[in-house]
Amino acid sequence: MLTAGIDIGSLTAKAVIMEEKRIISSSIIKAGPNPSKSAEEVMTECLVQKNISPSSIEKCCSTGYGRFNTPFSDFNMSEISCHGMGAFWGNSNIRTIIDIGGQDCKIISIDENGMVKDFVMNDKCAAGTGRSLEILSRTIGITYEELGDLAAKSRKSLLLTNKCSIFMELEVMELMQRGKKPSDIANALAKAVAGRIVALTGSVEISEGVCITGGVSKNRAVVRHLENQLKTEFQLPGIDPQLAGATGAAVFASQSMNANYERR
Amino acid sequence: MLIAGVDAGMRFAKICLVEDRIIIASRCFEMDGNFRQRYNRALKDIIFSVRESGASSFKIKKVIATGYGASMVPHVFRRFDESSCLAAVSWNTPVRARTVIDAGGLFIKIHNLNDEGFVEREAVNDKCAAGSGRLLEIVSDALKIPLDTIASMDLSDADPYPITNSCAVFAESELISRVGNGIPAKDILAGVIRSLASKTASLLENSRGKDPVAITGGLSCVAAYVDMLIKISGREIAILSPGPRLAPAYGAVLSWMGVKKGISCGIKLRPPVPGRVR
Repeated sequence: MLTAGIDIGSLTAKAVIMEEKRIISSSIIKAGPNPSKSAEEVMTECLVQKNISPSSIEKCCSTGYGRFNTPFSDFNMSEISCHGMGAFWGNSNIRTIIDIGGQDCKIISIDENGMVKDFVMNDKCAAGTGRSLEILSRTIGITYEELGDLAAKSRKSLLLTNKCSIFMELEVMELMQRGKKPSDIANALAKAVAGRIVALTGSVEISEGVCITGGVSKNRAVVRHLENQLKTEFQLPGIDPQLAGATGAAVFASQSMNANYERR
Repeated sequence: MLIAGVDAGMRFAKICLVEDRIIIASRCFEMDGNFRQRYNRALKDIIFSVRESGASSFKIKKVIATGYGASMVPHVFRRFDESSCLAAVSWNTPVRARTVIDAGGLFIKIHNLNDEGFVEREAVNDKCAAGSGRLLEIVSDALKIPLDTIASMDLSDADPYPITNSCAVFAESELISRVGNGIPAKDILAGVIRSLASKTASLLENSRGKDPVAITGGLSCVAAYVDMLIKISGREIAILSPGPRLAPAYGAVLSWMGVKKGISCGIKLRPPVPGRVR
């Protein structure tokens, strides 16, 4: 029995194909402006990888901000449930998920069945999202992927005081003009972004077993600062953290087929 | 005696040459990495034009600086805070505005002056850039319409497109996708300007500024913005002379003249602008 989960985010599109309790194929692509087209592209790539025919997928669940525009999906779930379920499926010790995506950042608290208990979300302000990291690393003159490694080289601690990404950009420019090292600025940046996420945690309970998912979780510097500021150690989700949403969707798809589906 | 007033702002730097309270020449250039080089070039250029015009003296006696980048200006005789400069300008014009709106590139500031022309209070959007000129700049880039064209555009017949995002970063991506969806550029512009004006108006409301109100700064060049602001706030708003861009630079010179004569016109009472690192 094959099920598929598809997560159309603002910057990337992710797809996962599951057989029983196993991920057999997955893919991540950059999302285009048209969500239904990105959905088709990512699904095709996922199918071609393992030579699966589209007709053998029995259920497909979509999530993410493009979930209503996925033509081939059978139903859709909110990305909050999917992230919770995906991370829980990968590692059943997890109770809190910090998901930092390209456009928003959310903290999800789940119960012992992987269902959402409480969540808090920031989608009003770009501060503390992947988007602001992307803009600010462009200001330093590096790509977003290089930021984590550059920040690791930092020796001196700098402070970015602004909250708004646009004001931060200006502050970064000023620091550069004053001849500060790019590595120190990158570190300060990661710290400031982590600080914005920590500010969110005030309104939701953080219980033991915290994991971090979404694109920014691949940024070592931000993750390290988050761990420091939250005084906790993140658990590994057991799956690619960027795929948590899509995995959760695939899990929901198989659950919907088989009410007695047993979780790993 | 020629005195140069320099206003090194967030996005643009302005220089004006003042002789006996009259502006005889001015220049405006964009701020970037090599500020010093551009500043020297602009200064050379301005002196050349003064010499061309046949002025008797063309030697700059003093440089007075203000603005965000005042510390970068070389050979400065004295620095003033922006709000005291604006207070000096406001108090030296016949209107004597009690509330001065400085709608600049990144910050919108409302300065409240008391009965004697002192700065009493200022309100700044220091937490969020959503209502600042930066958004208009981003939009002008996305639409490929230069700011100068936007400034003189008549948007009275446009149907303003309602922007749902309040963050300037998110608004950028929203607007770029709307341009792709075929919404006319005029409607998008009108929408952006309405959103900027409404944010300024709420800042103005919060500051409880008294009439008369005057506006200055780069955004006030945009006629549609000023019209919209007047409409939303329901107050009469005049453009602070001398022109939207030069007011703080001119004010710096006036402030220095005031100090020289022992008249402390519009000297600041409260520590300056949040959002700057020292």
